[in-house]
Amino acid sequence: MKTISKFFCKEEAMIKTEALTKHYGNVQALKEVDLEIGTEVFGLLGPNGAGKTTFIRIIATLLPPTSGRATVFDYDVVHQRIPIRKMLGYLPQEFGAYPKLTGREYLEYIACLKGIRRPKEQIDALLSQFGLTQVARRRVTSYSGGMLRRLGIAQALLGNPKVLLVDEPTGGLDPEERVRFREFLMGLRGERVVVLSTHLVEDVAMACDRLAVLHQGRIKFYGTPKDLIQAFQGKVYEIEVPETEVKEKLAALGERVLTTQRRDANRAVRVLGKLEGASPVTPSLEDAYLALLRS
Amino acid sequence: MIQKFLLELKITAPWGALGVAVFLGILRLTEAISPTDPEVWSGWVSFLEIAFPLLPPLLLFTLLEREKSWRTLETLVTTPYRKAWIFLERYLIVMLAVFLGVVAGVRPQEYLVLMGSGLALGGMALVGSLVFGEEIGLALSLGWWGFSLALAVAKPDLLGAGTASWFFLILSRSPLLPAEVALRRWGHLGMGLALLLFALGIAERKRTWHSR
Repeated sequence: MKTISKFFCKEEAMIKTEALTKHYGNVQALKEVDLEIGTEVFGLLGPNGAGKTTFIRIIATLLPPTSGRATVFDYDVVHQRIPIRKMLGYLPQEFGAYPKLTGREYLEYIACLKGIRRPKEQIDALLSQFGLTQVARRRVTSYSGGMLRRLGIAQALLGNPKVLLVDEPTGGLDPEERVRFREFLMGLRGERVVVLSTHLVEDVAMACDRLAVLHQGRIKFYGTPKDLIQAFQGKVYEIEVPETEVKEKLAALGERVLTTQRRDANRAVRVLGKLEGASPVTPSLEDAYLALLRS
Repeated sequence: MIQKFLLELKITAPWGALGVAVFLGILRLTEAISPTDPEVWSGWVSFLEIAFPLLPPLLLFTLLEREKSWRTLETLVTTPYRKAWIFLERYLIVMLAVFLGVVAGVRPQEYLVLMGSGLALGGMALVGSLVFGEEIGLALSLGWWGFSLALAVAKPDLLGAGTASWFFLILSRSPLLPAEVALRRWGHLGMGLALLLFALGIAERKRTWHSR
């Protein structure tokens, strides 16, 4: 496991942060984060309250850092906000659209704000890509949560931005839409800088080239999903426990428990570290992530 | 530009309300209707002098608060479009609608009674909202209005005293001469415009934007 405090990518970094720190009163949301992100799909993984949204909001020029520095294509997020906004597509965690507008009108409005001339073709293509053509002339108030999320992703992609920041994008999507969205993100690989903030390990496992795990405002891991799994190779064990004994067993194992899975009348329990009667297994990305948070 | 303005109209106010305001404005400006009865007129203007200034801060509060409750603020801010222009356009749309709606019952020489204090309170609400938050912006402007009203009701003679009289919004019962009242109303109008410009500057430089 990497324990260094600075995390640099091999390719040219498009987003860089140096000792990035953010306080909300006495709460320290980010603590001296040094990170470099290149032209890739980059996952920002962490539990709720880890500082992911704060990081994304600083990069999106919505929040100034308390100290430290962040740049996007060498533009400073505090002093050069307009050039950054010109190359930015952003899907906030809580996305909403103007209730009186239709889906198409909302995209037309955002296209105006982004300074896109003759956006019709782009809007048509995005509506079609995200399965919204049929409902494009309906007011957004009639949209389901999934449709609204897809509209949010479409607005973020208007203008073909160089940098795409998506904060918890799969929340509210049904499994089919989630898979479609991950495939879409995979399709952006190598085209632009994509930062995906999520607490869902499957999102990162499916779509990201590299990831950083944020925990309590600090980076606990930086590398590829394979690196993270590798770091816990030989440290994750599995034991089968009869369903009737699961409660007591889990209570006894406490923090060491990573994941559990039903297997006929038994439960397969994965734990961190050796355990009598348990056999070593190759950890999944979820096992490795949870092991990292517990270690 | 035209498309954006039409979308801005649709976002800002209901078509029905805009239609009624424009219709009333047309009726008044073409003199199809005009307030001529002096007795009714004086009561109406006195009422408007007290009530009308409340509209700009309340409408501004609604505009800013709606942007947050609709969760559209963050997307709006991260576009390169100048935030000051968006706020200005929306503010002017509601103010124009309100003004057109109200002029139906007001003579041109009294427009200043309405617009001076209304714009001053609106400007105060906008500056306060952008610097401290919507609730505080609204509270500051309502506080200013309430203090002026209390003084106009309880001690109108105090309004005749020097510099302080420039900061009170309800002047019809004051011992000031009509020319002095008009001068103060122009002052309020100027103050309102200056606060509006200041607020637009703040909107451009504001670094922290929060949704609810």
